[in-house]
Amino acid sequence: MRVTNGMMTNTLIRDLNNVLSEYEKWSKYALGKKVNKASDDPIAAAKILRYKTDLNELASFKETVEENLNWYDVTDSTLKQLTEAQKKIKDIAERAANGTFDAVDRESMRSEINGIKSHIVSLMNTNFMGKYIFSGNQIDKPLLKEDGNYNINITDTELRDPTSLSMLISPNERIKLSTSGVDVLGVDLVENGFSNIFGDVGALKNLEDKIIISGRFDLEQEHLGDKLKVTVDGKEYDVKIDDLRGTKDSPILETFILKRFREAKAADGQMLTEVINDIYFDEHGNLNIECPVKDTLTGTFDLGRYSVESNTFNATIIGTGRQAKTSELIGDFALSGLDSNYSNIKSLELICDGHVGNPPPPKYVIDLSKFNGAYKPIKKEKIIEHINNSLDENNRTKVSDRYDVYFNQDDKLVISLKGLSNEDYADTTLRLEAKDENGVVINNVKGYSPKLFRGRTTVESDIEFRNFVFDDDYILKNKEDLSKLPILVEIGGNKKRILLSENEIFNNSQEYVDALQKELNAQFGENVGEFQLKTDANGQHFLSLKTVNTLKGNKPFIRLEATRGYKPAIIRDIEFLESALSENKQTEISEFLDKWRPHYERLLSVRSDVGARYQHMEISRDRIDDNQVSFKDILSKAQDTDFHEAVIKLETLKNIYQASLSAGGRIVQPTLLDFIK
Amino acid sequence: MESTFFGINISTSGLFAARRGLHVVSHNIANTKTEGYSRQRVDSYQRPPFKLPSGKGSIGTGTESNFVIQIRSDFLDIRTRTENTVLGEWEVKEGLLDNIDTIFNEPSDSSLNTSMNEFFRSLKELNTNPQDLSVRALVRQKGIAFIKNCALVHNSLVKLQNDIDFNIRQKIGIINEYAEEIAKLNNNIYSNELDGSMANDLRDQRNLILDKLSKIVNINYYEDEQNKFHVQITGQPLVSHIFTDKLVIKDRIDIKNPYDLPRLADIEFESKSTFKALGGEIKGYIDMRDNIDANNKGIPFYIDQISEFTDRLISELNRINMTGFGLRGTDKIMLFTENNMSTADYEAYLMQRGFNGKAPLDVTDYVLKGTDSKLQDQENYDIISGNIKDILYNNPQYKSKSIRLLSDGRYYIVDRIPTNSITISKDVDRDLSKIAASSVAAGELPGNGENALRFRNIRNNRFMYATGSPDDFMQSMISSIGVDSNQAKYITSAEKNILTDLDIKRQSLMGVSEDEEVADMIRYQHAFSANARMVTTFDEMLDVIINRLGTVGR
Repeated sequence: MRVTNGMMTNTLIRDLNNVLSEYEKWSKYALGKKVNKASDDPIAAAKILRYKTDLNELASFKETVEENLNWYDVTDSTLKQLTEAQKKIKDIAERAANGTFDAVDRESMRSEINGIKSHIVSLMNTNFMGKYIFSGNQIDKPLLKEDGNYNINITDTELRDPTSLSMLISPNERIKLSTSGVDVLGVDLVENGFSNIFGDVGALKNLEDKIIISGRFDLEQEHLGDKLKVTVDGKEYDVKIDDLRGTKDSPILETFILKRFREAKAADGQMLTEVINDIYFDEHGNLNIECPVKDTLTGTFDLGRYSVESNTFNATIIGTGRQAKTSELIGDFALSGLDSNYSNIKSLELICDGHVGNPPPPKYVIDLSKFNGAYKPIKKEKIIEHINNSLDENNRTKVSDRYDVYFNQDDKLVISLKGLSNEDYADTTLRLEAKDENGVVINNVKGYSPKLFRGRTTVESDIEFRNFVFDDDYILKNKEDLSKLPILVEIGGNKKRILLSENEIFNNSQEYVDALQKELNAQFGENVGEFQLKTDANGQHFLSLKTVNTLKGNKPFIRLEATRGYKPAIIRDIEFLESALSENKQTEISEFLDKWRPHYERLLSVRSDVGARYQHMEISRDRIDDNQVSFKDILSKAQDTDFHEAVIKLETLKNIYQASLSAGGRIVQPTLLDFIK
Repeated sequence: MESTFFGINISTSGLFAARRGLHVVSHNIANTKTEGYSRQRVDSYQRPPFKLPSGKGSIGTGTESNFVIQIRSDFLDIRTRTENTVLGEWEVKEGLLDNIDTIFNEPSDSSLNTSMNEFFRSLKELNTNPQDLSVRALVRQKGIAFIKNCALVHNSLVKLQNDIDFNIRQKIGIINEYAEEIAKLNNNIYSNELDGSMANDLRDQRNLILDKLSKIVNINYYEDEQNKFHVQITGQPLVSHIFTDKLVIKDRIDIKNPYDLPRLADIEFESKSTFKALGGEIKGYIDMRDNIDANNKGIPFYIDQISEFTDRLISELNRINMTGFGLRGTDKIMLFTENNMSTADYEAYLMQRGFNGKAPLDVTDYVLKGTDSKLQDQENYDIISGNIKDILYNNPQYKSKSIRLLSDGRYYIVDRIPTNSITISKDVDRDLSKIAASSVAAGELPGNGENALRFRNIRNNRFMYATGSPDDFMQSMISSIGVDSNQAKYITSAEKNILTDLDIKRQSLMGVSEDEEVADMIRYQHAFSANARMVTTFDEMLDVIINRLGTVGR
C-alpha cells in the first residue's frame, strides 16, 4: 500500500485524539461517579434509580419508626405512672377499708384521691408532639375533660373498633401506633334507648334493575329442534340449535348452548348479546337471560319468550320474564367488643316474612355462643362461614342454600335472599331476632320491604328508622341525647355527619325533623333528600329519609351514631370511692376493691400490648438499619468510582499518550527533501 | 533514411515531456494540503516508430505526453459517500440523544426522580401528621416542585425541537448552495471537456462538494452518456446538468404530534416533488424532531412519555384526593389542574371542551367493570387502575388521552394536560386543608391519614402504566434513553471507523506524497538534463558534419 506523509500525520493525530478522549473519560470517572449520564451505562443507571428510591423509602420508614419508638416510650411511661396512680388509690382504699378513721382523715383521703383523679386526667391527656396520644384519631382533642368525662364522642363505632393511628413501617406492614384511651379507662355505658345489636337501623331499598327470562333445556334430548327465537323488546333473534344433540350418557354441554345464544342475530344483523346483560345457567340448571330495565319498567319492555318452531323441541319449561329483586339485610356485625354488651345473646334467628314463593325460606338459627369478640376481632371469613353453615330448624338446609352472605365495602354484613322464582315480592321482609339462653327475644333488627327501583337515572329511595318511635313524647324525653346524636348519611359517595348545632331548639318531633332537614341541606349544599315523619300500620311514628334524584346509580346509606357513654369506667369507680369516703360507707369501700380489679387487669393487658408493639418496632428499626447498610453498599458499587482502578488506568493512559507523542515526533519529521541538495 | 535533425526532434519531445512532468509535479506539491485534491500525473506514450525500409525493423521517434490524468477511485468515492450519509444521520442523533440524556439528568441528585422521591416522602409525612398544616404546606410545595421539574423537562425538550427545526432550515440552505455550485461546476467541466480532455481540478472541486453533500443527505449521482452530470435525492433530481431543482421550506399547518410546536418546517422541491430523506444529517434531524413511535424514538416520543407519566400520575393523585376527605370534610377537589384553574373551573372546561374540543366521553361503566362491593377497597382500587390502563392502552384512538374522575363520580375520557401547563389547583393553592389525607368523612378525625397512604401507595401501583408502577415507568424511560443514546454512540463510532479506513484507502490512492513528488522531480529534472545532453550530442554531431567534415580539401 502506498503511504503518504499526509496519511501518517492524519493517522497520528487521530490516534492521539483517541487516547486523549479515553483519558478525558477516565479523568471524569476519577473525579466523581462512574455513571453520570444514563447512556454511560443504561442498565446500571436504571439500577441506581431503583436503589436510590429504595434508600429514600427506607429513610422515610426509619423516620417513622424512630418517631413511633418515641411515641411508645411516652405511652409506656404514662401508663406506668397510671399504674402507680391506680396502686395508690388501691392502697388508700385498702387502708380505708381496714380501719376506722374520723371525718378529717377520710376527707384528707378523699382529697388525696381527688388529686390522683386529676393526675389521671392529666396523664390521659398527655400530649406528644402536638398530639393527644390517647385520643385515637381525634388527636387534636384531649381525651378527657377536666371533670374526668370523655371529651371525645364515644359512639358504637368507637366502642367496637376504637379509632387509632396506625403507621406504615414497610411497604406492606402497618402497625397500630396509638393506644386507645377507651381501652385503658373503659366506658361507663349508658342506656339511652339508642343501643341496638346491629348498629344500623336504616337500610336501603333494593336497587336491582334487570329483568330475567328463564327457561329449561332438556340436555339429554337427541334433537332439540332447528331454531329458537328469543324476543327482546319486540325484536326477534334467531338461535340456531340444529346440530346440538345429546343422549343420556353424554348430555349437551351447557357451554355449547350458551355459545349458540351468544351467536344469535336479528334479521338486521344486530347481535342478541348487544341488547342483553348476560346469559347464563343458574345453579338450578335454568337458562337465564338478563336484560336491562329501560327508563320506565312497564310498557316499553316486551319480555322475551322462547318460542319453538320445530315440533321435536322438548324444553320442559318455556320461561317467561320476571323482575328480579332481592331482599337484603344489611347491618354491622360486632367484630370485636369490649365487655361485650352482646354477651347475653346466644343465637340469632334469620326469618323471612311475606315470602309467597315455594318453598319459602325456613327459619335459620345462627348460634352466636362462639363469638365473644373481647380483644381479638373475629375474622370476617369465620363469620361468613359460620352463618353460611348454620342450619334451619329442621336441620335440612343451610343458610347458604337460600341466602348470599357477605361483607360489603362498608364492612357491613349483608344477608341477601337469592334465587327468587316468583313475581311478587313486594312484601318480603327479612329480619333477625336475637335470643338469649332461654330463647327469649331480646331485640330485633328490622329489615325492610323491597320496592322496585326504577331506572338508573332517578334513584328514589326511602330509608326508614323503625327502631324508634318518633313521637313527641320520645323526642322530649330524649331531647338531650338526640341533640348529640350524629346521623351518618352517605349519598352518592358523599359521607356526611348530620349533627344538630348545640343551640338548636326543638320541642316536638316535627321540629326535630325540620332541624335535621336544615342540617342535611346545609351539609350537602343541595337538596339531596328529605327527612319525613311517617306512621306505620300500627299507628307508630317513625323517621324516614327519602332521597330523590340523587346521582346515577349511587346507593344512599344512612346510619345512626349514638353516644354510648360519657364517663370512663375508672373515673366512675373513683367517684364512687370518693362518695363512699365522704359518706363513710364501709361496705361500699370494700365493694370498691372488687370493682377496682378489672381496671388493674385491663391496664396490665394494655401495657403488655404496648410492650409487644415496642419490641416489634425495635426489630423493624434493626431490619431497616441492616437494609440501609446493604442498599448503600450496593448503590456505591453501582455508581461510585473504583479509585484504584481509575488512578492506575489514568497513569497508563498518560504513559501511552507520552509514548505516542514521542513516536509521532519521529514519524512526522523526515521527508526526502531533507536529504537532497 | 532518417532526416538530419531526426535525433534533435526525438530529444525535443523528451524535453517537452520532462518539462510537463515537472509542471505536474510542482502542481501536486503546491496542492499537498488542498482539501479534496487528488494527485495528477502525466500520461505519456511512445510516438509511432519510423519504419526502416527492406525489413530492417523500425526506429523510435520519441515520446508524446498525452493527458494529464488524476488518480481517483470512483468505487472508493461511492463507498465513502454512502458511509458518510449514515454517519451524518447518526452523528446528529448521537448529539441530540446526548442532549436529551442531559435534560433528564439521571441519575443525579437534582433529577426528576429525586424530586418525585421527595414528593412521595412528603406524602408519607402527611400520613404520619395529617393534621399538621406545615406538613400540608410541604406536600403542596414538593408537589409544585415535582410538577415544575416535569415541566422543565417538557420545556427543554420543546426548546430542543425548536433548535432542531432551526438547524433543518439551515441545512436546507446549505443543500441549495451546494446544488447551485455543482450546477456551475457542471457547466464549466462540460465546456472544458468538450474537446475530450479532462478538467481535473474542477472535477476535484465537484467531488469535494459531493463528499460534503453526502453527509447532509442521501444522494446518488451519475454522468450520462453525454457527460452531463446529475445528482438525485431519493430518486428526485436535485441537479440535472446545469439546472437545479432546489428545496423549499413550507411551514407545517396541521400539527403532526400532540405536543409539537406550530409551523415546523416541511421540505419539498421547488417543482413540488416530494422530498424524502433516507439518510444524512437531515434525516437525523427530521427523525428526532418528528418521530413519536417507540421503534424510532424522537423528541415527540419523549415528550409523549413525560406527558403520559405526569398526566397518569396526576389523574391518580386527583382521583384519590376526590375520594378522600380534607380537614373539613368532603371537598371533591383535584390536587392538580391546568393553568391554576380551580377544580370547578377545570371541570366546567372539561365538560364543554375536554375531549378534542368537544364534550368528554363517559366511560364509567368500563372503568368500574369488575369492581365489586365484596372486595377490599385496595382491590377495587387496583381493578379501576387496571381498567383505566386497559382502556387507554388498548384503544389507539385514546392514545395521548386521559381518564379523569370528576366530582359527579363519573369517569371521563379527556385530553391530557400538557406537562408544562399542569399546576396545583387553585383550591389547594388557597386552602391547604383541602388536601384529602383522611379516608373518613367530616373533620372529626384529623389524625386519620389513610388517604395520604393511598397517595403514597401510588408509587407501588403496578397497574398504572403499561410498564408497571411510576417507578418502573421512570426507570424504563431513563434506561431507554440511555440505551438509545448508547446505541447512537456505538453506530457513530463504528461508522467513523469505517470512514477512517476508507479515508486511508482513498488517501493512499489519491493523496500527494511529498517523497514521491520530490523523487519524481529529480527524475524529471534528470530526464530533462539527459534530453538536453542528447540535443548537445546531436548538435556536436552536426557540428562535426557541418564544420569539420571535408576540411581536408579546404
